[in-house]
Amino acid sequence: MKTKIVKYGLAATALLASVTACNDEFLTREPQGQYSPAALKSAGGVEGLLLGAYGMVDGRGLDGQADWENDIQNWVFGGVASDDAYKGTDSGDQPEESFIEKYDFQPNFSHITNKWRGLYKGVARTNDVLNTLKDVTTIPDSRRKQIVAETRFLRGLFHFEAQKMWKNPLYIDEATFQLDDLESTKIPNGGPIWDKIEGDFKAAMADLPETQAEVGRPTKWAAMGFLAKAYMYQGWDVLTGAPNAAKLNAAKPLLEAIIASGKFSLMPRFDQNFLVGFRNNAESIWEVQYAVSSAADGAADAGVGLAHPYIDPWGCCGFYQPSQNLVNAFKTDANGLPLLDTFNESDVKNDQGLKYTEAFVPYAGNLDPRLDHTVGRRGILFKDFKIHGSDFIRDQTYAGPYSPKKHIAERAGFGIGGWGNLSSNNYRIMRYDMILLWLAEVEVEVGSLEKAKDLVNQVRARAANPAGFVKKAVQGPASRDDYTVLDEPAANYVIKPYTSFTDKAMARKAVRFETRLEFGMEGHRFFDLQRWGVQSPVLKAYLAEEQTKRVYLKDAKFDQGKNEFYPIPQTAIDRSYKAGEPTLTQDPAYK
Amino acid sequence: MTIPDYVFPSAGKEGTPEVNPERYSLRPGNIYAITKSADTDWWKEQTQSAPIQNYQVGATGGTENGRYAISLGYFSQDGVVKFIGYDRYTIRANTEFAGLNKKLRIGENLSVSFDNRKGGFGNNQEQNAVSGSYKHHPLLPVYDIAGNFAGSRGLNLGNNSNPYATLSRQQDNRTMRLRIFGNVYGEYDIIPNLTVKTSLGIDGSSQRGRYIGRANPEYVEGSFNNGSTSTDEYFYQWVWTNTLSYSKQFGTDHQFDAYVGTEAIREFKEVFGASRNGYAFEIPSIISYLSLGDATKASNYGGVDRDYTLFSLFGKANYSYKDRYLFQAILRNDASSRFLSASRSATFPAFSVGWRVSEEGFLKGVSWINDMKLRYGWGQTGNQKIGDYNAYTTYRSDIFHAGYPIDGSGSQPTIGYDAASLGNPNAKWETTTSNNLGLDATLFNSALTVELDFWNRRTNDMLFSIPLTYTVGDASAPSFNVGEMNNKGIDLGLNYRNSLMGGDLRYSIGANYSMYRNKVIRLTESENTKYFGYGSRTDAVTLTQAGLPLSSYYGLTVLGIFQSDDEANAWAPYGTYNKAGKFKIADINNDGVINSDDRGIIGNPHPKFNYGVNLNVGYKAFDLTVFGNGVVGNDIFNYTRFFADFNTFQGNRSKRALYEAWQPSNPGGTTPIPDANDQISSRPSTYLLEKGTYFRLKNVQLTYTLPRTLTNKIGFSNLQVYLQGQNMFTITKYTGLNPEIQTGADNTLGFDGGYMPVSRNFLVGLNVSF
Repeated sequence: MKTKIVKYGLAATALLASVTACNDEFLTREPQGQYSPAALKSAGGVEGLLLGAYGMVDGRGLDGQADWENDIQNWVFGGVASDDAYKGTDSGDQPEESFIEKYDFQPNFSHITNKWRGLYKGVARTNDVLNTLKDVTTIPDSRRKQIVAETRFLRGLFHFEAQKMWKNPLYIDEATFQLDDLESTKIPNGGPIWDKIEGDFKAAMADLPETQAEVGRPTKWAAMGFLAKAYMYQGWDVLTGAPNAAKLNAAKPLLEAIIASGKFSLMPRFDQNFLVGFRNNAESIWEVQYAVSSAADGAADAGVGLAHPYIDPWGCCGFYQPSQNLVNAFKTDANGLPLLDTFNESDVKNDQGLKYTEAFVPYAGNLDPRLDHTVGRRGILFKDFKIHGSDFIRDQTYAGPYSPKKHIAERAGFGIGGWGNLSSNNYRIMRYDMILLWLAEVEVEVGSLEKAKDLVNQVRARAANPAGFVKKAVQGPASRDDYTVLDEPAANYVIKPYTSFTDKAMARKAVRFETRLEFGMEGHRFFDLQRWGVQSPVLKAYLAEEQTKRVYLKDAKFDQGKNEFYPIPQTAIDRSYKAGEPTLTQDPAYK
Repeated sequence: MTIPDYVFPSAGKEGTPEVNPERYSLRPGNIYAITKSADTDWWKEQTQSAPIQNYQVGATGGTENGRYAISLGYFSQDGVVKFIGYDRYTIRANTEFAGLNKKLRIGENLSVSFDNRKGGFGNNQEQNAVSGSYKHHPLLPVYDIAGNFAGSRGLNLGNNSNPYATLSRQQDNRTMRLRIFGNVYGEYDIIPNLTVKTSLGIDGSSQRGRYIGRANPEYVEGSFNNGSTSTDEYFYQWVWTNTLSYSKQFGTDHQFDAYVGTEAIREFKEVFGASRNGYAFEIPSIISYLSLGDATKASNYGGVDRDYTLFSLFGKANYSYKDRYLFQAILRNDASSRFLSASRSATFPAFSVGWRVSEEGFLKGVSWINDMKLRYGWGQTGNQKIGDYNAYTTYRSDIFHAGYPIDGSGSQPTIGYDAASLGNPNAKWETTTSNNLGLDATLFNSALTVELDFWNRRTNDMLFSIPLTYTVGDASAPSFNVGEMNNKGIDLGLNYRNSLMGGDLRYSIGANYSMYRNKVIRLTESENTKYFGYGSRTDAVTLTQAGLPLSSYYGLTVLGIFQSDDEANAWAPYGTYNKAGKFKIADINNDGVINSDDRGIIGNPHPKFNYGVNLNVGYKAFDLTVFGNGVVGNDIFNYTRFFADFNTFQGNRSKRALYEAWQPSNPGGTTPIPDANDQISSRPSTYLLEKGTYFRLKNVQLTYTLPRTLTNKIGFSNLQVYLQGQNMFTITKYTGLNPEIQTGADNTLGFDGGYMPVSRNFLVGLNVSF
């Protein structure tokens, strides 16, 4: 009996021992089919993390958002909110955008929330690169320096975009950000973060090379351009428009250096900056890269997907329609110069209320040729698709007769992915023509009007190249897509250089006007008005006139001291709580 | 106001060239789908009465050394929503054999089922049939003039897809699953009263999905593209349990039984899926399968969905003296792979005592007490319901999240890495300590039974997935042990049964009542820590904070509607919002202005109490059973109002917005004055909350049992016919479709985002035994 018990006892002990031994193995379940942070602590891992940070530049790649809400092309925040464009489509589509158009910015808008989420996700990705890099010893110093420089360029860019949106954004660096401490980035927001943004671009500029083998990576010149842009955004007081000579003087040598480098030149034709066929061209200092194939469109320009005409082949969705005010700005006088003060006193004739089958007598007055690369309008060939008519428009009564044009790919770039609207038409966020006009702005304020005039004229001379004019096309009988191109300009294009800038005020006006003509419908306008400190007068005047054309603008009101910036999203504040108190503070104007 | 003849072309008039049917076109390059206006009841269009069939046949039998039972079942249900359905076939077999003088028993329980879910419907989704029926514009018809599905391309008709078309296009979706569920066990009596048992259970399934994306060119944001997705998943869970149990009575007064055991559980699920686009035809025999799609428009994915193990050691001992004093003690140790080794295992003790008062001498003579027992129990249990990889930070690598054409390629992005989920290596078991005091009594010749329980459960190291600050990125958040929570409650069950007329009339009445109170006691981070919960298109609608019930509703408090501009101007300003007809919103923090800081606790998703009643009446061969239940006092966040009462999106509107809106001529209006520019009224507030109190008559059944003499004659041992009605009616003031909201997640308690209503079912049943 006793031996039996001992035997059982032994058997039980043996069983228990084997159970304990295999327990650790049995109970350890490490993630399958996913990377661990340790796996990325390698040269390839860091490069991949850096790519992930690049992936956030276009604003896509964020879970739980609509692509257009956080789009680097800023057609909502920089376009619809400005005098360039209306929301477009019909009145009920994307109601938040209608409110943004009317300067009724609410902190609960998903557009604003996702802009915040996307930009700060980008910041988080860059800081993860820098922190992971510290743990990897196998990367040679030369490349290490480059990685830091590229990363800081991106971090500067994300913060820059945030600073344009919000008066008091957050700045987060790699010392603050700790991937494994989810509370680490709960820090207070203070005032502007320009000094930090400048710091990132300066660091990037110091170490980036003059050329890059891979065109998507920024060069020294790109960093220099963005540093200059940061100064240009501090060049005037947002509320009063008073110039800040120190910042403008800081921008000046940078802009001059880029020009003096001889690395960049204006493309012969203006429209080459807006075609898939001319990506990464000689004018481009840095582009937001897109890619699309029949198998994958995850890196395409989905942010502007809705901002295509309502007619086939796009069919969706008719957003972002140019304003009459913008179209009028392209009128030129007998000298081929813009009507700086009187441009909006009469309208360029349009086909409001006309079916595309009904006869239309086009506007015969002088026009800047850039109009028809910027705006789709009646009778003008729309890229190489078809002749624009009211059938492009979803609700003409509501949103007028014009279509956006620049970001829309030509036929060869259309219909490649699952959704035809998605293309690889890069967003040329930093171009040589910008550098020229920024330097012109600087020359007006702290330099020579003569130089300013010459810079503006360089840009105008390119626009005046007849090879770049939109050609006249006539409708054929077979279908809407049937047209024949004639060898003559589509409209009465008259554009000439300025002969003189008479005084500072006139020069300032001329340069800013040129900026509008050159960069219209590229998502910069609201922010250009912001940095010049003229949002209130310009947008109030715009609304006063435009509401006679677009009745829904009647109750729109620009609130000076408030609507220059957007409110911080309420959920960002709600999620910033630490110990029962929010670490983020709302812009006082929106309290 | 006249209704136009056509919605596309917008405001088209009969007889004009614009609506000439010859112009109709719905093909790439030319979309001109002429569509007449209509008055569509979208709910009616999408729903139907649908049959349910349920058949079961089985046989049981046995000998001294073996028993068996087998059955075959078939269940089929067409959806109450059109184009969805469900079929299931089941085979069950149970056998047991005894040997070695019955000391050894070996058996199995096995069930094999095949089921097939047809069509597509997702509960609680913005574009599902339920949501579509209150959002899609009634002016739109189901079909256009050519008989194709009609869209909403006309002006100001919203951006919803035709919900009927969506259901129809998904009707060939299939989710087919083969599932094997059962266990094999062996039991051996080592010596009398000492039994060792081992059991291996398995729940394994293999699931195949075919999901078809048909072209939807009529849809505003639609296209001519089509596609097909195939998915394949396999899942298994095995449970291996070993116990050694001992049971013995010592003398007449001492009963002792005990067991010790181990249990190991392993669960794993792997998913794989692929899709192709660009099919030439959309008929099911082609588009259901990948091969005929365009191979250049293909994508695929694969990964692990579930992966965890659990190992437990446990022991339990029961002792009773004269069946009067009862003691039980339990000790168990659980270890879960969801926690890292330092905190992987935890020990949970429990004990209970019972006192059968009715066995005491002083109650022996009390004739109306048949049985009465007092119980007290204390115990701890653990919870590990968190993500399998909660401890680990992981990265993903895909084009959408981390792809960028760094080399300037217009077609091929280079793919990097992006943080996908963030880990918490320090999570440990959540422990709930329960105290329970109970009374069980059977009284009055066993006519009345009473069960009464008072309980209190304290949860420590509460596991909760906290909302992450946006500055960490969009990686998913892990669960943390955030604090303590308390639940206490009372459960009462009463049942009275009796018969009259010499047993011909039988009846029983039962009622149960249960209530609980939930409170977050403490959040570890700080005294004032606030965790904001779910927000869909709105700010957060819930808040979790110490001192409050979990996921309390959070928002603005609406005091009423301003009756005049004077009244509005006298109130604390809310930007430029305050006007006659707008909500008068409470200035919670008394700072003289209304803004987001005036949000506060506005409601409670937890009910005051739940109850149920059931009634059985039998007379001779007839039996009537009635069962109903209800909930009292909870609040529901009616998100459907966000769409239907305000100008949030274009589309259908509620009758409230039409008839009950405040107007100078309708000063009693309860809904704010319609205003296309109003974005404040739809913010989370008391307006969107409604009481969820309801009573539902769940089940009524009338059964007729054929007299045995008659059944025997025709060769059956038992034959019953019954009529059953389910969900006969619901009494509630809740204006949504169904007050019985079950979301499953703590931070969406009571959030009604478009729930499928329950269907009223009538069943005729036949039970036959041989």
